[in-house]
Amino acid sequence: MKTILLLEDLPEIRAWLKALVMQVFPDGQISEAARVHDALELVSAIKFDLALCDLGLPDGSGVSVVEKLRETQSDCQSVVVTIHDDDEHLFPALQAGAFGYILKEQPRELIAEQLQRMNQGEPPLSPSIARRVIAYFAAQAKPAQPDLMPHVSLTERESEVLLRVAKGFTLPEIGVQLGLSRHTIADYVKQIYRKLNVSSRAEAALEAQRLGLFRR
Amino acid sequence: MTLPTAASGLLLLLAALCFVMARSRRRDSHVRYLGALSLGWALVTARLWWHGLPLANFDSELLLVCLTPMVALAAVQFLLHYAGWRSRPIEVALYAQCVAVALSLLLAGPLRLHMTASAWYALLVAQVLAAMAFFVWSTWRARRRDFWFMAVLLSLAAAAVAVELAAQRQLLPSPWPWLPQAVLPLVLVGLGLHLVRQNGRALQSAEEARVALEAHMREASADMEQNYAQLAEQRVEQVTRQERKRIAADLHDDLGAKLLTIVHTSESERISTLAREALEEMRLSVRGLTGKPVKLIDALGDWRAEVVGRLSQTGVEGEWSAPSEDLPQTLSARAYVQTTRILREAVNNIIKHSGASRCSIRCLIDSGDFQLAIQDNGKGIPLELDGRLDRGHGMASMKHRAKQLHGQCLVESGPGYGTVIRLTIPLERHTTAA
Repeated sequence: MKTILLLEDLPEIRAWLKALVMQVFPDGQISEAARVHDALELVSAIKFDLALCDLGLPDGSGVSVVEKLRETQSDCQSVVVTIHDDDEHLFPALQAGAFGYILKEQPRELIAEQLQRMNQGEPPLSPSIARRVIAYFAAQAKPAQPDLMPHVSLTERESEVLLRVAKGFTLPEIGVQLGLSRHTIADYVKQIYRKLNVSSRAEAALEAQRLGLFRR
Repeated sequence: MTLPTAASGLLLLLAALCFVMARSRRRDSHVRYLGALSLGWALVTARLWWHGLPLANFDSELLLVCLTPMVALAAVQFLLHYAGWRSRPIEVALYAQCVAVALSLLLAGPLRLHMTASAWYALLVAQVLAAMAFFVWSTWRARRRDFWFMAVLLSLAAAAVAVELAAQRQLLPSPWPWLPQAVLPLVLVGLGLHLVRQNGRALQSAEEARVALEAHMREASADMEQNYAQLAEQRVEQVTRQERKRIAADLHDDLGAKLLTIVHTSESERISTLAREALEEMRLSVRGLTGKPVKLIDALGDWRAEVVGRLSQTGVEGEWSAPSEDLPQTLSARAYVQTTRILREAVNNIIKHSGASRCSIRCLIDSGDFQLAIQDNGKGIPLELDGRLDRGHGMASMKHRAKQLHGQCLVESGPGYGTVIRLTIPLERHTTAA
């Protein structure tokens, strides 16, 4: 039995998403929210297994809900459901700890398939996101940041996977190229996202410290 | 013209020269003192040839003796200042000394004039010699370039003064007395010439410094200009990015939301698809308008993922070949967007209309052009009645887009042959500095 959070402000889209989710997870218990404020309240009250968050909401960005989920309920899979396909919007969400992303306008079957895949532990990764992640970790590795502890870096395998995704190879193809199963490749992607989240949080904490503010 | 007259004349000239030099170099007070020294010495030795002074003997003697402390003052001050050591107490003491000498002589009266004068002379000579010694020691310590020159001159002067003193006490035979009168003026002139030479050198080094400074200034202002240009460029980029975000946000909020609602609430599959395609177009248009140039290697990655992904979903066997090495070229945002559209259109046709089971896409760079060949083994594009290819299926728009990019799009098709779409885009026109 899955507890699912649905955060979306457009009522028609929310209804459509709900129908889709019920189709994919028939035994799911769905809680709906149309504003960040309501979603945050729900997060403090209920333990969720899956959260589908829109990014553009009237009272803020879904990224704050993703952050809160990552902090208080780290087992919850938060998936960003958005109309934006560019890495400028998606990358911060991933940095905040999102498990994956879904582009809203795609056909129903495709989204259902993506949700299934994520449920099985295979997050999506597009070439532009992969390039962004590569650039991010390359910047982290520069010696100009000697005080960034702990220093999170990618393993060789993970970098290889990222490079091939950036070149446009699909996960099954990469599996064949590296002699690994699709599942293993998907695990690498999960690891990469996790490291991205850890590194981004450490960076943010350091920045806050530098600015003289203190987080909890 | 006798020697003393010539000497005095020379000294007066030297004094004049020094005062003129001192005017342009107010910092170098030692030059003024040299001038004063020359003038003073000229006046002191004037008695050797100037006999027409309308004063009583005592008075002229008095005047002469009063003049000597001033000469000594000038000498001492010259030496001290030239060595670079200024001392207010000493200066005040020297001036006080002049007054003291005058007073003491008046008090002494004519009877004891010679005695008092001799005593003062001794004291003054001692002071000057002490100043000379100090000067020599100080320049030796500072390792000045003119140390040896000055040391020699001062030794000559000191020797001359010693000889003069000895002559006065009648310790030396008479041929020698003319020596001081000849040597001292020459020493002073030597000093004057030395200062002139120093002045010249200083002028030259100042000129060199000025030239170097100008060159440095030119460099600095060139640097500044470059920095400013860079900053301006960055600012333009920043403003463009912000504009892009704003436009994208506006479009996504209003237009995107409405289109999305149509996609998911329409009962007609066709309307949903149309709305979805409209959304895609909207994104691409925003990107093409205001986006940043894309590296060719990144564009190839994006295209590969999209094309291979779509083909595999629809059961068409896809084969993609493209250069795998790191390519330096970039595509402008517009070229990227238009090529994406052409590629999408072609793949759409293959999936929807061609009935093909296999499709191959080849990309290569050849003599500055980007070449894309999309081939499928489908049933081909039907011919129209006039033997030319059916202009539907987006062929016209593909050709038009290619032409807008200063390239071309050729289509070859036939039953049993499949379809080949060849797109060529020149890279120079769209290559922007990475």
